[in-house]
Amino acid sequence: MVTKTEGEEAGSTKVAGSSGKVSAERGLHRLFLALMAPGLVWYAVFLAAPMVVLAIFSLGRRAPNGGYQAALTLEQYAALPTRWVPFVNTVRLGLIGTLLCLLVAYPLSYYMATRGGKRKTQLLAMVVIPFWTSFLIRTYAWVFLLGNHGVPEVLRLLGFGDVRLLNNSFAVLVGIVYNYLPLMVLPIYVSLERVDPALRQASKDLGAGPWRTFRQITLPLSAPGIVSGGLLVFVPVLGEYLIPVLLGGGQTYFLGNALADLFFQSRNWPFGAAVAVTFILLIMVLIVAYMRFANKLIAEGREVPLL
Amino acid sequence: MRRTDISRWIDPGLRWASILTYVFLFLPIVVVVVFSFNAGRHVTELTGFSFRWYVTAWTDPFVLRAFRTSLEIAVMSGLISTVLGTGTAIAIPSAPRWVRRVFQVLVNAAIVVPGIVLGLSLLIFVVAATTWLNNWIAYLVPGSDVHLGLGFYSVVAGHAVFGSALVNVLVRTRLASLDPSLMEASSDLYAPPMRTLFRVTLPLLAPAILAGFLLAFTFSFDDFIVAFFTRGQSVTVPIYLFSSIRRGVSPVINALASTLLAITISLLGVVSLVYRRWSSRKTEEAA
Amino acid sequence: MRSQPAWARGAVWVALLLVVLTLAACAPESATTTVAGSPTTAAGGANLGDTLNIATWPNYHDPDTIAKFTAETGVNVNVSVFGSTEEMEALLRAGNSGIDIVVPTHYAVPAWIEDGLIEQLDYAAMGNPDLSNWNPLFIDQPFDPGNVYSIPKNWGTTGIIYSPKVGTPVTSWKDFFARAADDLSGRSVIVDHQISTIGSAAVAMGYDLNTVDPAELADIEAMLIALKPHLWAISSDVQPPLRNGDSWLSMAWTGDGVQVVRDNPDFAYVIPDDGGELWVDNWTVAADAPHRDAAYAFLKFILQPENSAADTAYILFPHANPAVLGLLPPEVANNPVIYPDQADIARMTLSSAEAYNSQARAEMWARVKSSS
Repeated sequence: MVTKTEGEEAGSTKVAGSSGKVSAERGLHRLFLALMAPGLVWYAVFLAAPMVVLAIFSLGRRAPNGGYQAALTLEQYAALPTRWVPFVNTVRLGLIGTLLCLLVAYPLSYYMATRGGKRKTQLLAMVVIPFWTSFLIRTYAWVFLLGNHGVPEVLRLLGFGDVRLLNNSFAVLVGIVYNYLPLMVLPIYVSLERVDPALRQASKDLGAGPWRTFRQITLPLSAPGIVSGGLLVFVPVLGEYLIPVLLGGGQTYFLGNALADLFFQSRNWPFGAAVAVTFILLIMVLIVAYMRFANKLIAEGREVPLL
Repeated sequence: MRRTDISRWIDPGLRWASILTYVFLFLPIVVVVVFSFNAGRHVTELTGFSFRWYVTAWTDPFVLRAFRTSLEIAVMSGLISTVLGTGTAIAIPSAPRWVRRVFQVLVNAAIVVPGIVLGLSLLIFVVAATTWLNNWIAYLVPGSDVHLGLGFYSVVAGHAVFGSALVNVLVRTRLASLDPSLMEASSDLYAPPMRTLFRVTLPLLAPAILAGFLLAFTFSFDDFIVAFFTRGQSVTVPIYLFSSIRRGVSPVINALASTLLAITISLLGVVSLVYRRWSSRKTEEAA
Repeated sequence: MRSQPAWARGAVWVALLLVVLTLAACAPESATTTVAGSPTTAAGGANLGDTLNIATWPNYHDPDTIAKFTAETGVNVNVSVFGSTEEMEALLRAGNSGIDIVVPTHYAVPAWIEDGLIEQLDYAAMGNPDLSNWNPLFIDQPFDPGNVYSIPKNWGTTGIIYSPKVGTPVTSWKDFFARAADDLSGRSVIVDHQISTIGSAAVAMGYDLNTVDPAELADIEAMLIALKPHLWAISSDVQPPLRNGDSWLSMAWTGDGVQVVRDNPDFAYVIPDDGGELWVDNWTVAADAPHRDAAYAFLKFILQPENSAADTAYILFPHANPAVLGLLPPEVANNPVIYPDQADIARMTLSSAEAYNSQARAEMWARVKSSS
């Protein structure tokens, strides 16, 4: 997000002496270009251009044996409603998953930010370390834990009978919360850390109970972090592919699965492109909404963590 | 009083919530490591204790090749991400307003857009672009047999898009918290911008840059979905794993993952020690 | 200005050195730019180059056999693994893949021939292998009459695995789909592959494995949607739930059958009574293969019975060449899961290209997976 250094120019204008000023400015301009250009070019070529090509493909037709055939037609977009059910499923489970992730992440972030003390960085690192194993391996571990010999066995021993924990929405939600936890913890932690403890102390001194302090002071101040985290989790979850396959056992069909199937099983590239383009437009709406919200916070003089 | 009763439960409540969350986070890791010593042949069936999978992991030529490819891609995309992300983070405050807005959207998009969309769009783009390029090359330089296509470099390109956005965000955050007078002081002393950059700005940003590289590297090494679409015939570790699903997954990959985990944890320990020394020195010098 | 501590400056140089070394060492084995192989000399060209790229399945090649080839010819073989034929096809259709040999399942071959993705095999360069006494079920089939473009590598079946917990053995697709919704509810798995699953469901309902008839497909769709809540999973990863005890009954391919039964002898892999899907993976050469000579040298090598036998004994999939069967160790040759009776497999049908390419089937499958 646009940060506090927005209005600042690296101080060349302060250099005294006209020739020194001119050459410093020119040098600065060149430096600026050198620093900015590669990044912009990279995004233009590998992010923006592919989206454009995707849009072009979405106007084409499926070649007889699969693939793309050049054409200018909107029939792929007309076929979008056939993927309505996966879309709804994805949004529904995505929202629930994001919410659950928030509920799990917040106490941990709060604890780290306010009670972490000197160990803050270590605690934070410990949140990230599990993610240095391969995603597939972690998910296979959950297949074991949620399968017959894992937690259900423990539950059986405790007398709960046969509980199914795998290949259903529950397992998918566990997968979402697990794999996206760091992305939710990080922004919330960053924004909580910036909250001056004196504010909480003042609230307490003024007679507010802990819940009231939390609701009226801490929570609103950590709102930027919550929103950042929400966006960082929700949007990628919409495109999840592996979790529904490995933990959902094919019982949940996400938009990501529908997309991959369109490219590999149906080999219908134009329709897949159309679905992808619609998806991107949706994401852009969310991003722009987020940026408006974040800019509003900046205008109020508050910082927005991360995005 | 009621108020004190609640406050008494908060601290232990938070602590237990956090402990449970850490257990939740590490439970699968424990499973991964335990299964790496599995004597049995399948990744979810524990039948005994054995080191065989560690031996296989480090001697099987196919696994090793996938591992090497993953490593090469991660290092290259990590480096590119770091250079691009840091450069843009430093330059963006000085950019004209419209450039800042456009770039902001691009960076947010790069982070937030799901990997499947990124991979998919890159697949189509690289196919279209290389077809066009190859035709031109064949026309301009007849007889040359250069065939550009999907492969190692398209995976690196895709990973660098996401990685550079990550680095950009981290470095920008750190930059925002730096004292601007440090860099102003440098230019007040007639230092050319380049020298300010290398002698003042970059060292001050070092922790964020390093963290960014590590994050970009980790993401690239662990990525499945972007590589899945753009891989051409390259094989990375996640792709090797996923492809094995239809033919049986053995604990060899647990052994691989456990070793990598051990290596990365030790690396992290070393890096954090270095960082602590470096940043405390920087604070001394800047003071 | 105070100068940097010496070690910080050194660190920068080390970092730069690392960058340079990494970029230099990063000679990726599957590089984007591929230069065509060395020009052919006279028939039996001696110059094979030093690289060969194969797109194939995981755990589908004996590393020792490949090493033997490299020792004999000096050609390094890069094996790229793919989880499905569809992924290999995506690679070929993308063009300029740098791949020489592709090992697709047979149903993709007709479309590849039609779209010019693979070339006619140069039998002379392969030493004129004689396919006439190979298993007729896999030779000269509609997907490639006369085997002009492909030669079978290994074949397999889509059958049923069940654990002792099912009680009465499940021996037909009809039985499978009936019991999966009934007494075995919550305990069965079907694979996430429309060809095998729609095909097996079709057989269960008395239709042809490769049907694309809209009325029949509608029946099958209704049956599958009704079945879905009773399934443990729709997943091609059939082994974990079987080994775990989560699933007792599973649709499965030969490879899974072999591995599960090997480790759990009380499980069974059966060829259903009412038939089912038969499939064969084939050697093909990409039309734009950059190392054609090396490709044919490899094919000539691997088609020699002793090399195929070594390969087959390692991967444990059946081979169509009787000479290979003769060279296999008895525990492989006599394993009924690997080599079922000819009578059993004669009941089965090769899946068709039409089924592979059918948009009706693909869309139906997406609808089944979306249903709740």
